[in-house]
Amino acid sequence: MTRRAGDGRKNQDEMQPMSDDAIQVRRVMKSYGTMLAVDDVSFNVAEGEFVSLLGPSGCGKTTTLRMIAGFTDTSGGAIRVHGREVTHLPPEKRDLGFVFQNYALWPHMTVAENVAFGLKLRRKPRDVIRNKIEEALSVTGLSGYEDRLPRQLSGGQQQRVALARALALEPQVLLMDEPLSNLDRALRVVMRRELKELQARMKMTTLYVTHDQEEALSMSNRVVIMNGGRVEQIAAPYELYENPATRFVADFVGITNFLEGTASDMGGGMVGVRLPSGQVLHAQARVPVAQGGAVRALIRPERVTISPAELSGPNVLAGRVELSEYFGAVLRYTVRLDSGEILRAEVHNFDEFIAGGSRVWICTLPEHLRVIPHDPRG
Amino acid sequence: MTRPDLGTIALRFFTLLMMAFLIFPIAVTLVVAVNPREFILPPNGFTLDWFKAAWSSKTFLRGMGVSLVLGLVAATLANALALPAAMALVRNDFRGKGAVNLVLMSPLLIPTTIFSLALYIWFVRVGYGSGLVPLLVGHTIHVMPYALRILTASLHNLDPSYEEAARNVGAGRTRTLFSITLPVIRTGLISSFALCFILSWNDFPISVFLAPPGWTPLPVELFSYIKFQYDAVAAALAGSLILLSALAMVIIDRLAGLRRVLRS
Ligand SMILES: Nc1ncnc2c1ncn2[C@@H]1O[C@H](COP(=O)(O)OP(=O)(O)O)[C@@H](O)[C@H]1O
Ligand SMILES: [Mg+2]
Repeated sequence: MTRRAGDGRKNQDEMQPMSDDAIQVRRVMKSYGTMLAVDDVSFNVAEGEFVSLLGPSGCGKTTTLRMIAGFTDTSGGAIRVHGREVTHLPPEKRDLGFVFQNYALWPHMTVAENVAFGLKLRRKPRDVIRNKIEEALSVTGLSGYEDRLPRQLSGGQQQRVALARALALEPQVLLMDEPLSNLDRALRVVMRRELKELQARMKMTTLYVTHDQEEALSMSNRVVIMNGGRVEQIAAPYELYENPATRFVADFVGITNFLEGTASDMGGGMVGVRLPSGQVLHAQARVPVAQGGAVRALIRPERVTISPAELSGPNVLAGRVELSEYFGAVLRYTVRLDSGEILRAEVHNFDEFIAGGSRVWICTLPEHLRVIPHDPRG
Repeated sequence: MTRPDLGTIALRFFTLLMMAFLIFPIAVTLVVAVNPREFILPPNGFTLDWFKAAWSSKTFLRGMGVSLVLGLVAATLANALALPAAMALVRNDFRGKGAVNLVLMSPLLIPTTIFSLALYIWFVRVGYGSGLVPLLVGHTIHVMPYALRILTASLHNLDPSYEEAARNVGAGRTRTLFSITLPVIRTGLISSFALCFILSWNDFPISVFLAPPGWTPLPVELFSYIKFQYDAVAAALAGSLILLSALAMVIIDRLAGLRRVLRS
């Protein structure tokens, strides 16, 4: 037993040719020599859905996307687009839009020529091509830039041309590889909203690769979290954040505190986590855990109450503030618990400032405490 | 302002010396070509008579024509062969890649005279001797390594995502080659073609061994002329070629940005 994914694992062995899903990735692998860049990855993207592949650099996101586009061969598994098997088709036969991380605008062609190239290949009549160019450029806010060369444009404008080039062909599916990562932060936030708005308006099925969790969470209907070539969890952003399936997911999607212990069933939909100190934390049971099994309690830093006065209740942990950092809208505390562990806490609505060295009590509600089975991988 | 140190002064001096050394023979040739007193320096006037004689010589004009055709054909063939070879070398990792590269570059390592002689002997063995085909083959092999070098460098700098983007919007391999790859590496292609042409144009040893009667390229023609006649017509012809080469360089630079290619 090495992995558990939120969904998509139940049917992993059956190909579903009749499925309406726009993209089906089934048990896809890619090896470079002895290194597995993508290791048994499966997920679906439904019609009109926005799905992100999220994970740290080098986890196999780009490789996965490139296999779907046909730029890289698979070492195993199958890929279907609208039910049609495309695994071994050349890229030009797949009818998928692709936006490259570095845009890949053809440097010898103007903006209009870049957009027109694919349309000309499809032998569309001249006036149709002219209309489509106009439309694609106006949708991406580039009207008036038709005759510019790519190098005469800013990064943000090049990004829009890359998008216009893909959209003009009205592809079945749009694939994007970190399209915003080369923009500065302010522009990235603006483009992120525009892109999401455009995607929703056009109901464009989109598979989006990013290593930026904020991007993935804010734009996607569902997120596929990858790590080391494997899928860790597939879930809606809210689910990922609220119910991470693995320590990796909990860690990657926001900062999380982990406390190790053993599970004890308390009945009534509650589970207890017995800490090494003997204290038992109370949590709502969301995933089944074995009685007496090793588990981790997850505590989100923003889901705690921190107080310089002693608190009472089941989930109170005592400790001393090691560091308090003021960030304007938020106060961040690093607390050394009496049991020796470090726990981070964030306070947004504060009217007192607890100085470093102070003794504090931290409390978390059972419904905010998550329990995941202990994962030997770390 | 700081005074340049001894090292800088020495370097400048050495640079000037090198430039003088390179320019001196060219300058002498040009001076001789416009000097009315044949070969007697210093010149006592200015004349274009030698140039007129050179440019009205049927032999020289014909030699020029042969060299021109030979250069164009050899450069075309060399680039047509080097381009797929460069693509294979840049885009794939295969066993024996180093060896293949070495074989393709080997004409650079063998002295041209030896190479020409070997080629001549081989063509005699297979029953050809000298002839138009051996001459073309010799020139093409001779210039191909240079084309391979330049095209390999160009393809190394070519972002593969340009081609992937073309495939993605529906272009097949051939269409991608002609609409994307070749236009994007245009600079490298022009430089490569120009360099191959100039190398063929200047070649002497291959032509001496392999040129058939009636197809004598200009350098060989010039050499036989100098052997029997000692006058300034040869200098005028050489001077013309120098000026033409310089002009060609300027045009290529305007077209392809030669300086940029050589620097990259
Ligand atoms: N052409 C290749 N040859 C060898 N290894 C590769 C190649 N492409 C990617 N990899 C390796 O595969 C892994 C996944 O890469 P990639 O899919 O680009 O990651 P990501 O996009 O998530 O950052 C990395 O370890 C990378 O070094
Ligand atoms: Mg990547």
